Amino acid sequence: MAEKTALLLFFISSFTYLASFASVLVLHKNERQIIRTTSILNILAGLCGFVMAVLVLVTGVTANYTFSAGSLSELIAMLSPADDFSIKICPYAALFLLIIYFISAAAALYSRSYLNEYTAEHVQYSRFAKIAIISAVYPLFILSMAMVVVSNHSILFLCSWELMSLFSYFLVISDHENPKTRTAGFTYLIMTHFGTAFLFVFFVMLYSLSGSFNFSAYTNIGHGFSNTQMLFMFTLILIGFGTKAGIMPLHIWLPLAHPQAPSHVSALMSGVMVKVSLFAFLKCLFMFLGGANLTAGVILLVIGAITAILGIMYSIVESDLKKCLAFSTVENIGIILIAISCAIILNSQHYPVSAAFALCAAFYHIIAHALFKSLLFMGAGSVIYSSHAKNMDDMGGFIKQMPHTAAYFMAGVMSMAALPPMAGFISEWMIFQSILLTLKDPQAFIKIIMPVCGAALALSSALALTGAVRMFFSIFLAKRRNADKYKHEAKETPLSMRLPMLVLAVLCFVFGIFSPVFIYYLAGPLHSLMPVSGLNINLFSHNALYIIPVSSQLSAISPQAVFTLLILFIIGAVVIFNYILPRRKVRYYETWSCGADINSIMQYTPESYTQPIMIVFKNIYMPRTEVKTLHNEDRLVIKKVDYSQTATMFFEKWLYRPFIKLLIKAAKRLKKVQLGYVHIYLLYIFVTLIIALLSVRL
Amino acid sequence: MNINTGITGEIIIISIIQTLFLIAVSPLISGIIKKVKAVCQFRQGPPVLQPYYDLIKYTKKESVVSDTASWLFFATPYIMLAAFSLAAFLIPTLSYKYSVSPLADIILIIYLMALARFFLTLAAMDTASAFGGMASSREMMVCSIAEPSIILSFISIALTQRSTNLSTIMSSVAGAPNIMFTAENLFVLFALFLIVIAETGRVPFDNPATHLELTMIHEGMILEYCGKYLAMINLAAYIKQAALFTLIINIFFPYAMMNVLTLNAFLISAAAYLFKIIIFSIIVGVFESSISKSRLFQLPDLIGIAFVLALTSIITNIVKS
Repeated sequence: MAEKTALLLFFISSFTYLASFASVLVLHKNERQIIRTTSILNILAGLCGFVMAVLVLVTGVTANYTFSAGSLSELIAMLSPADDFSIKICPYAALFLLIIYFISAAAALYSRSYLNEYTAEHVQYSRFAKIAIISAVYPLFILSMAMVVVSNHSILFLCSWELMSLFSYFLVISDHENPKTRTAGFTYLIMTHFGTAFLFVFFVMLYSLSGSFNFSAYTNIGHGFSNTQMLFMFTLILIGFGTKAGIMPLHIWLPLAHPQAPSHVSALMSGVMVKVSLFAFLKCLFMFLGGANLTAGVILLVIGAITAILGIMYSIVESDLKKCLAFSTVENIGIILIAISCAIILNSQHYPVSAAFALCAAFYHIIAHALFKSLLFMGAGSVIYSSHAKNMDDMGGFIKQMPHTAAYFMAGVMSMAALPPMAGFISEWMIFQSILLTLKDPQAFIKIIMPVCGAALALSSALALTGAVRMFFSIFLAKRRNADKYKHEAKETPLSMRLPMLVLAVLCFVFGIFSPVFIYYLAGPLHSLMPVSGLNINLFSHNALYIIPVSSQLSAISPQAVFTLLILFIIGAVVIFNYILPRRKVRYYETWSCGADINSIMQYTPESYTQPIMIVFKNIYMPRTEVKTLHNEDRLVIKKVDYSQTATMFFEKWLYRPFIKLLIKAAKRLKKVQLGYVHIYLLYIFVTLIIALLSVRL
Repeated sequence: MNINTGITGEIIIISIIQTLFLIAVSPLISGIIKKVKAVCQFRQGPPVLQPYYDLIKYTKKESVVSDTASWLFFATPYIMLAAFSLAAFLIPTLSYKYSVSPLADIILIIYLMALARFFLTLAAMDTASAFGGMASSREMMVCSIAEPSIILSFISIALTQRSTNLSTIMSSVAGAPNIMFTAENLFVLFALFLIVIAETGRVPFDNPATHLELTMIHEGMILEYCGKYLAMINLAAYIKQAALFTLIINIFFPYAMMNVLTLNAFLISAAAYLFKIIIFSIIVGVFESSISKSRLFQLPDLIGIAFVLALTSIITNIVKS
């Protein structure tokens, strides 16, 4: 019964998305109506899908559906007769569907007012085209993500995967008049196809091994692999899915492309699309390949640690707000990879229950990151929407004009900085405990590498705290910098933009405080991804009050108790200092600045805030310093000194630039062959023919 | 030992008493360190109880608040005080047996301190003052590089004690008296000592006595606070210092702590705790007097020492096992 309902709801939601797409074609005249209709349909479709995902998660059923008729499946049938296109909604898929549908519904609500303003600067014609394109592609993008998650057939999977890339590409280049956007879109397109090429190889190999396109035939196919075969297959999915997830050094497109899209799409790309690629990665790794190879685990661990540290390091020196958030996404992917690699290492050393805990940690960080990153991107969108500034250098003091947005944004940055009792803290705590769990293995190698990795995680979380403070103060606190550059005063955004942020901010708290309850519901996804005999999820969430990593001897926390105590202590402090002790007068006066008039130039800027960190880690940042001095006409008086320090992007400089140079050089060499005369080309054809004939004869 | 998830009334009462005791003692520690430094410099110095007098004085004054400040500036002292008091509540001070043991996770305590730091560094930026910005940015630099060493030190302790729960660690150390005086644990002790000095903002990392803008970190952040709010922030800083000192002395010397519910045991444990914390404060005072404040960008080297010590401890541990 529940299976049928789930399928029904899934199809209703999918057709509603298609209807939303079709409505743009029908209402091709009125932009207000387009925005209103599509956002309502998208919200409905999202909620419908959300109910479906919750149903599957709670009941733990698995719903299958096979598309048996149709000419397309007959074409497939020519290749392998037994496999029709099919979809499968298991609890593991439902977990990710939950994220996709929920965040996309929130983003759809957000887009209602946002889209109007986003296109405000454009002239009438291009403004309308933009709204139409964004509104038309948005539902298709969500649908393609959902299809990636549910598809149970490798060709259907690859089609959905490619569609997801293409639709997100269209959304990224929606502001295509800007040359920067075009570059970003192009980089994204190249990188995503580079990754997909590896996926093609992976699935072709699986087909040749099993003779089937159906995912069910691939279950545990990796058991018969030798170590080399396993590592080869692992590398294919690591590069294939890792490119989309943004692991280093394949991340270069992510900080370019995510910020260029409209903010509600950035929220989806950063919060959801990278999770979809992690979904597929985990599925291939654990369901097909077994997920128990020590070497693979260590490779993933090293990549995860590097991604986490470099991601956050670049994030905290970036002054473009959305780029800063995009780099932070790279960092969080690194953290999730650390958790996943703990699971692989534990699994390979035959600690399946501990491995399940590490996977739980990975799931929880995936959820937490989806919540706070989409919240932060929406917050960034609101701030840009109302202040017209994109750079954090030109912001400041918005807490007075936008108190609601500031409060929600604060919940987001607190979760990003993994502060208790937010959701981000719970997942980070679980990942630390997973690292500690690996230490029970007697191998000295693991005992050395895991603590160092723990230290790397600690460094990245401390830097994330720096990034969180830097982001919040430069947007919301003190005085606005460079206010004279902008005509507009910042003002609070409309309710339809604040409401989705409020919901996400509350969820950041709820998923922190009531985390043991939610961890209980991770049992279903865990079982369908990695069946562990004798695993009882009560082990991890005791009485729905404590989170316990496998054995309570190691440690435990109770987020509810911590939160309650924190509130009690705050109340205590308020009572003592406001009611028991005598109250004294509070007087307002301007900030002391050694007697000079205080102005916004005196404040620390986002760049100067992290400059000490840049000096400490100068071997990683390799900062380039530029000092420009502007003299008077008589060259005696200095009018202005410009000082700027920028970090060198390591992989761009040492990996991609040389590669591109090499490519261009090779192309120039090859150009000599292309002479442009028809008879020369005829000669080439003739020579090729002779060589072909000869090789056949031989 | 499994975590006893049931928390009884006695445990809550004793935990509250422990916390109140630690909060009451915390300004004294600062007073003692100042006195030791004065003696080392052949000065008479302020009385040991001066921090208490200062706190009382501040609460009697009116507050002058910057007009650029937002609600965050007012909320910060309360949140700091609550976060550090909660950390103190979770750290077993007098008894590891009668403490809220299932909650006393060290990683949680580290992150609670990060919560307070988040608000303080933001409040420092809230007034649009350049001093606040300078100090806040430096605080973030020091804590960013100190964090890996802290986690590495506690991973090293977890390697030998198989837990990150403070009660579990303390009870297993108290059960095997000489376990902490092996090479690997001494390395951790020195690493933690350096980190605690850095975290509490003492020489050579920061100078709590100076008000020179170019050298200060903690003082710079609280420059715009006065009156009641300054009293709260100072009290919070004292509690943090006391909590961190307690962490070291109770992990490495969990002796004479209260194991039975009698008044005698309580008095003995309180006396023992006072003895331990006073000795530790004197050591810190002497250490501070014998060393000068380092330049800001030499601090990574000092914290690097702590990192290497913690790593050495882990390697020693592996070689031995």
